Amino acid sequence: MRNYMIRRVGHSFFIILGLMALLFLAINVLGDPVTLLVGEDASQEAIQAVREKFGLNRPLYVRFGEFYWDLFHGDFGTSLRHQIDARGMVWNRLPNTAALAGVAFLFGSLGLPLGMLAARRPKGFIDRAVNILSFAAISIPQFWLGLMLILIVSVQLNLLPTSGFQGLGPGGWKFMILPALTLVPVILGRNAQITRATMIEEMGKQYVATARAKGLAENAVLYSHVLKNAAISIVTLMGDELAGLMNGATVTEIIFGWPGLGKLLIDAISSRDLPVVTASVFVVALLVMTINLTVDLFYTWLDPRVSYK
Amino acid sequence: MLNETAVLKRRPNLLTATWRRPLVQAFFGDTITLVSATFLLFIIFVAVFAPLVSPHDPEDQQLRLRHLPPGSTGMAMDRTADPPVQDERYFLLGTDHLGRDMLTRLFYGARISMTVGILGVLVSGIIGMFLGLMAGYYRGVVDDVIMRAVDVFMSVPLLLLALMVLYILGPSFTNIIIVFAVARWMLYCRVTRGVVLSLREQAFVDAARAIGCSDRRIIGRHIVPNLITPLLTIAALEVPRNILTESTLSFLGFGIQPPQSSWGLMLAQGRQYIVTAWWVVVVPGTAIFLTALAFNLFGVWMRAVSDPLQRWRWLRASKEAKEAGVQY
Repeated sequence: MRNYMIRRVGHSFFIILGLMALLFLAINVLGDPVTLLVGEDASQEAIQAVREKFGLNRPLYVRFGEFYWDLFHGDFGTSLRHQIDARGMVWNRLPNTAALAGVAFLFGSLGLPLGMLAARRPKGFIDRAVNILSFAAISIPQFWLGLMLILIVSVQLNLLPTSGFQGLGPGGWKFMILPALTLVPVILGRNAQITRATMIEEMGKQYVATARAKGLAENAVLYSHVLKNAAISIVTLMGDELAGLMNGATVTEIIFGWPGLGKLLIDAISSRDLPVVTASVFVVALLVMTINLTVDLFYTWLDPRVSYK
Repeated sequence: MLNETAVLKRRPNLLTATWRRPLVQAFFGDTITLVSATFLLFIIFVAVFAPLVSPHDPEDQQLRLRHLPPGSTGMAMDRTADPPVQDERYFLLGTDHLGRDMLTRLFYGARISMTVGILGVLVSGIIGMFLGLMAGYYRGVVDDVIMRAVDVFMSVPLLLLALMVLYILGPSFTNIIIVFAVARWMLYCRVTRGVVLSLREQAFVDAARAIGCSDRRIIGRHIVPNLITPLLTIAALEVPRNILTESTLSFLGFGIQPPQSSWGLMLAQGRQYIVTAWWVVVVPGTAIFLTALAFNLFGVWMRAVSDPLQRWRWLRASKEAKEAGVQY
């Protein structure tokens, strides 16, 4: 087990390194760092100045080494726009995104009981209803849902503020409802689908017939046998959903002016703030890694059969 | 003699035989799938024949008629005629902030949205399949390198990867296709590799090798045909995801650029007028939603009928078909 964990963490570490190498190569080989920093129609002097300032005249391998050296020291440079430490900016935004995603994920977990309910009687009325509704939920463009919520709840009914942020404390909850609501349907729908599909698949297995044959009540069969076995797949896929929340969070943060990681990244891209872009990508990758690692370790607890050799 | 006619009568013609096939029966027996498929056909039809079915010109600006609500009529100035003449026009879905017909722009937008959705899947599918074949067939170092790359790419959220690619390459139609190639190939690669790994151990591949077939022939003749179904089922569910991603990217300003138009871009342009003219946001949004939903419902049906463990739920052969001895 310990060896497995060490290897697993090493693997994650390797993936992050690979990813950052890819980012470096993409910026410096595929793209042109000067253009990314000053824009396409900069004067010759401005381009020279940027080349001097960021040492872009040096050979690629020197810069590559320096990039990794800084990475290991957690140094991403200074934000070009705000003149403050890029790493600090990203860490400050992290709790905001985490809070938003956390709330959305919590409500999205309601998809589990929905999926179970549907799986009780495959092809029954509830199953069909849950199936279509969950597909509808994942087919809604999130940015559109956000705009619609603003239009209906904020503009027409005047119930909640259209956008903004007033801290994560008790005063700020009003600003959180609409962004969280925008994120919920996709997670809810996917969770319901995952639960339903996994449960139905498990129910076709032999041990279920055995449990029924020995006279167990249907509820006991479903919740103590089927659910436990289905949980393994459900947890994996829910971990993916949590990681995928970053997609929705980015769009939602833009629409509602929520100062999270996604908005930071989009703003940094728009203002050609390369250090902040690099730092955001690194932190998001780190976040996804951590989630995946946690899910993997969760397995041992859920399924003692999994061997870690 | 009499017997012979009876036998002849009982053999169904091609049309009836097709109709009796379980897959066809299942398709027409399932209302949701039928409606989804019809809707998709309709969208593809208007996308392909946009110039023929559109009531107006997508670029024709009638500034005096801007933000007309759905179902209104207005006196437009026809500038193509000489001298320009007034002409009464009907706008089924209203007009946008430049007085352009929403319905027409929706039809033309469908072209980009559908092309991006389908082309994105094709390109990423082909790349993924190729790399998956290499990894699964040749194993060893090739396999290790490709699978580590899969791990790296899988660990980045789709939108983040897409934004990075468009940040570095700049926004354009081609680059959006590149985004999907870069960000989604892993999916097809993993499935392909899995299938290849199980196939290459099987007797018919050994037999092919034993009689001296080249690697190319084994892959092309014996392995690729077995990949079509699993890859197609992923692809069907990837198209709606691509359409949603494209609209999101265009909405954020990193996707399709004007004067080209996609549904996401229409939404982005209408966003600031949402309070005064709701239809400029509701119309393209509904189009994206319904198309994605139809693709998802159709895709999940496809997955179900191609999965041997689930197939029985859908394919309940009619008594007639069984008597006619239809195989499936």
